[in-house]
Amino acid sequence: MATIARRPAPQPRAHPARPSGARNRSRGARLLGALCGSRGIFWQGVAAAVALGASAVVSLLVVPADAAQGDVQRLMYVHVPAAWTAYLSFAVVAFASAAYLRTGRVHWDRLAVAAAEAGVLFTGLTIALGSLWGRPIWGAWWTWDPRLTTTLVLLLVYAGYLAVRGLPDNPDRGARWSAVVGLVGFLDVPVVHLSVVWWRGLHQPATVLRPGTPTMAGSMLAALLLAVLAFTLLWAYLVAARMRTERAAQRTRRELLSAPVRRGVQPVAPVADLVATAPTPQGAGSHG
Amino acid sequence: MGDWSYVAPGYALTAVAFAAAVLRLHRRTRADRAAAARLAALRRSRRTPPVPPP
Amino acid sequence: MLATLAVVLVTLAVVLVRGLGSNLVYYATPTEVLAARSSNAHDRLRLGGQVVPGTVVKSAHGVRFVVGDGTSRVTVVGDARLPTMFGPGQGVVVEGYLAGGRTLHPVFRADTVLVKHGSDYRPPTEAPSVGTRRAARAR
Repeated sequence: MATIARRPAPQPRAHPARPSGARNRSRGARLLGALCGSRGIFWQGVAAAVALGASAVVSLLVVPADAAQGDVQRLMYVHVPAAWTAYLSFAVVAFASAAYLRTGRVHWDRLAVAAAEAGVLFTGLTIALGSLWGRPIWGAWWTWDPRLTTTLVLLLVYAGYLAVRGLPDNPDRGARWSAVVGLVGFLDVPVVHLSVVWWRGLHQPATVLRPGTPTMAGSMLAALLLAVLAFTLLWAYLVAARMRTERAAQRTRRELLSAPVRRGVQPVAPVADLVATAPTPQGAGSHG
Repeated sequence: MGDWSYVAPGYALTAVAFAAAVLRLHRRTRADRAAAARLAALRRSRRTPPVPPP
Repeated sequence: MLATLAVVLVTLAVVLVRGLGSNLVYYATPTEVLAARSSNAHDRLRLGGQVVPGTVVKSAHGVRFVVGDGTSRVTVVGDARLPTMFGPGQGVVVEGYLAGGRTLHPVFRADTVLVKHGSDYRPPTEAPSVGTRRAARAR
């Protein structure tokens, strides 16, 4: 949460999130609402695209390649930020899951599911990019190193999180079950990070997120931080946009459930179809 | 060096993954709007009763 | 959904057994391998250590080198498919088995040689320590 609130994205103040009760909210909540509003999401997307473009140029063309590894080391500028955003995702999933279990408020569940989907994406990307990096440098696409294994466990736990959601017919129950998975699954994140310290493995120890100074040249560290910023912006965009679709889907579902069935009105498709089918022109509904 | 033969696929994969994620969200957002529009139409049809009172 | 969850759970079980089950210790040091040499003969294992400088001999058939941990040394023979970063002084993890485990000088037959660039954190110039890095930069 705090990470979203810290995003330096533009904040259309007079543009509160749609849910009512927007009056007396704290500044943080208002900023969050602005970021999750349509304009906020749009500008987050723009900021992410610009930052990612700049980061790609810097990582591929500007910063010098590592002397020992050569250009292969440039994979670091995508592998490490992907891993960072995966950690971030699961921290947010755990936080939001705990908040949902405590308060039962649906917006925490929306945040959790949005972050979990982003987390699965970034974890998968971390593993794939690590594999591409490992082949030329280590000499293997994959090995059962503790860091690799625990990261794969992380991916599977959060894939399970998403699968558990759809299991019960009652979405509230699905949200509660998955919140438990999201909370317990987070225990693997410190294990992943410290696996290189706790156990012998092939994966090298942390370079930046470790006690002491980063063991990396300044220019490379700067390029890495830029990449981390860019990935984080994209992450914020993906989470905010995903929360918006979840909110829309929930609203549609609610209205459908509350709408009295009338004779003479065409039956409406189930909410899943309404939300998932290809878009129809505005107003092309049953009896516009 | 043949080094780029791993870097290029890596960056391409990243770009494709990001584009796919953004595209998926975009599609969902449009579907949401369509669903909302249908609901609004439904509500409108409810407000103006199709059958005149007897 | 149930099918997805089942697939996830089965994969998770496989990963946990495969990755953490028997080998929480990813590799054994030469000292450990030699200490257990009579019991682990022909067991598939991983040996990790440093390539002792001056021991690498490449031939048409493969490569022979010595892996050491400062205390013990094990001679490794393997085929010549080596990662580009392989070299004297480099940290390596080799996969294979110990042949002649009951003899005085067993040989580790490796089918995979993995390079471990452990303690060097990828500075722009190749040295592992700050001092040598600075020296290399001055070059």
